[in-house]
Amino acid sequence: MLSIKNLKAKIENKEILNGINLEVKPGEVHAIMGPNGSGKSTLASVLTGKEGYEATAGEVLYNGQNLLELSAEDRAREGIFLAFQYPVEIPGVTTTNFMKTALNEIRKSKGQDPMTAGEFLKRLKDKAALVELDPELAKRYVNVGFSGGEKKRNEIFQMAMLEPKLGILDETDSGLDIDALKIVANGVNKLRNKDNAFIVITHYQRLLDYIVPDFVHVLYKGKIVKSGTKELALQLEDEGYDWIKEEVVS
Amino acid sequence: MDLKSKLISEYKELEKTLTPGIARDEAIAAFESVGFPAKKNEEWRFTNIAPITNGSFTVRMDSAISRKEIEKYKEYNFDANVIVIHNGHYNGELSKIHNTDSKIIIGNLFDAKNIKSAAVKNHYGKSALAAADGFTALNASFSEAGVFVLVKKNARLEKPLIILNITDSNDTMSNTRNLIILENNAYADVSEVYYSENKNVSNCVTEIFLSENSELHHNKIQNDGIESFHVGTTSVHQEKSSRLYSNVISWGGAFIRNTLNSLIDGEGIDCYFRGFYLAKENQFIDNHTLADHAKPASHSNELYRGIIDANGSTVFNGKIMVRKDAQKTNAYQTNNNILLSDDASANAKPQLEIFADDVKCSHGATTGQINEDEIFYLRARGIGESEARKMLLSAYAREVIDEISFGQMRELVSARLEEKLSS
Ligand SMILES: Nc1ncnc2c1ncn2[C@@H]1O[C@H](COP(=O)(O)OP(=O)(O)O)[C@@H](O)[C@H]1O
Ligand SMILES: [Mg+2]
Repeated sequence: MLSIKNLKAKIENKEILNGINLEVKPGEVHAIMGPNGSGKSTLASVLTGKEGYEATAGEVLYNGQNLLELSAEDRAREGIFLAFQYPVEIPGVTTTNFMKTALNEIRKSKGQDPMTAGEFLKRLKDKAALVELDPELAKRYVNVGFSGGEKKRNEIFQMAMLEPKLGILDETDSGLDIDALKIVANGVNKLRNKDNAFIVITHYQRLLDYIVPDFVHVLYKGKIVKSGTKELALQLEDEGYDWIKEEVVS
Repeated sequence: MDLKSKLISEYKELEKTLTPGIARDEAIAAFESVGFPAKKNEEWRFTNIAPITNGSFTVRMDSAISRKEIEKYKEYNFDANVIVIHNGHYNGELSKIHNTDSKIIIGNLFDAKNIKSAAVKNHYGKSALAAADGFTALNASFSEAGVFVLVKKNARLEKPLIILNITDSNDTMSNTRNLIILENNAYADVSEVYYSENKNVSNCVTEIFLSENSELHHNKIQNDGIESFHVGTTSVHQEKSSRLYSNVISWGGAFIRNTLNSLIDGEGIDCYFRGFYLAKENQFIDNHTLADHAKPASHSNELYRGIIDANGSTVFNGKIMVRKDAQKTNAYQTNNNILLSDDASANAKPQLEIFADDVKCSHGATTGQINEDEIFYLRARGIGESEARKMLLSAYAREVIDEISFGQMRELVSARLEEKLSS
């Protein structure tokens, strides 16, 4: 599904990603861990087409096509979804209207008719229930006046609404208490199937107790310096990142 | 001949034919002495009126408009009282007044029975002073058409009133004049809607008097064509516990200058000023407002927002005045501007003059671009870039437009907004 080869990227002439290699197949969950500033969010931004993030080398194939050539909206229409580390507030636009527009723009790009009001409302209700989001929140302006936890949950709600093929969760767990964390993880688990895949970026092992990954990668200074299975996450939890840093140096 | 001399000589020619009963001679004398506002006049410092004063405009104009033509205007068919003013002439035949309440008068201000009435005598020219400003003086000299609304004690105008101003003459200056009086506990919803085509000046004055506990919703919607000039003054006097909801939507015309003042002359008053302006190619839109708190314990709240594209330019000058006696005043003001091009400019000038010490006042002005993080957030959900921009601009404008309480009008304005943001 996703094949990243030797990807290098810079922001404002600063080299942030230094040759990333990653293969993601349908049905898999990959966790990416790493200390602050190692480039995790940058990778997410490059994959979703944020302006200012320039790939300088390597390639990214998504279902066989060159992902880096696509606009941000086309990537989303092709099924890539990013749950933002810092969700953006959109005053004046309700989440309902936002999702209706997004769904219909995605459908339009595929030559499909807009959803009927009934279909849309049913989906909204079902998906809100899935992430245990109060449907009243969807009537409010996107993220405006939401608590940190509500914003994160709203990201997962949007993901559920859009049913992406590749979901990228950027520190969705940070700022969540344990109950909210379980709800979010539970939502993601319900969305998992053999055809979609997830990249779960996290700082802590905690989330991975609930969303059990197939692979764990450690990103450090813009490179994946270690890959393994979920045991690697437990080891990082116990021993921190220092031993990784030492291994990289030696 | 310059425009000032030309207009003064037209006055002398027309004098005998103008409706008597108001202080026209005093007004033209005031115009003669103050003339058009000069650049050094603080209230006009950023407003270049040369395109008007360099023109050759006459107050003489004819009106001919058919029912078929007027029916093309959506507002004409709204569930409302509609008064048609075409080329500065009050058109009684095409006007539709459903009101049957004898406690409510709606009609031409310059009809003999109105102009001579005690209500008009007691209010006309008392809020918008001819001596204060050349344009107001000109209006008071020449005005021959306009709407008189009197809602007596405890009465309620059931259907909104629309004053549909249509101007299509060339090189003319029309001077319409409205007077709205709400007595104690009265209610009305009045929209002034403007459509001008061709090169002309609309010089409009509306005076509004709100007695105790009355409530007025007042919309001014400016849909003029690219050659038109509009200079308008809305001057309000609010008494105890009255409520004013003013919405000014400006997106037409080559030049717009709106002056909106409210004298907040009692306790427990609410005064809402809201505005949205959209200036594009070669357009200039200027809004000057004054919330003048003269008495204690009242509230004013102002939100003006603009979008400026191409080489459009705008001025927002909002003054909050809190006089010495106006303790416990709450006064808020916000002005936001979004610039869509490098050549666009927005001049924002909030002014606070506070002479009382126990007050809550705040103001804020921002000028910037559309927020790129918001754009990316929408695009990351599959919404195309131009649609994303449109959505954000629309949401921004709607926070003002949604305040229009007259449903059909709000929907029409919203639909127009979408059209304008798509073009
Ligand atoms: N917009 C930006 N401009 C300049 N530097 C940035 C920008 N975004 C991130 N960086 C830098 O890139 C590095 C990686 O950041 P980031 O990808 O956010 O790390 P992580 O998500 O792993 O904490 C950091 O050194 C950060 O300061
Ligand atoms: Mg990050």
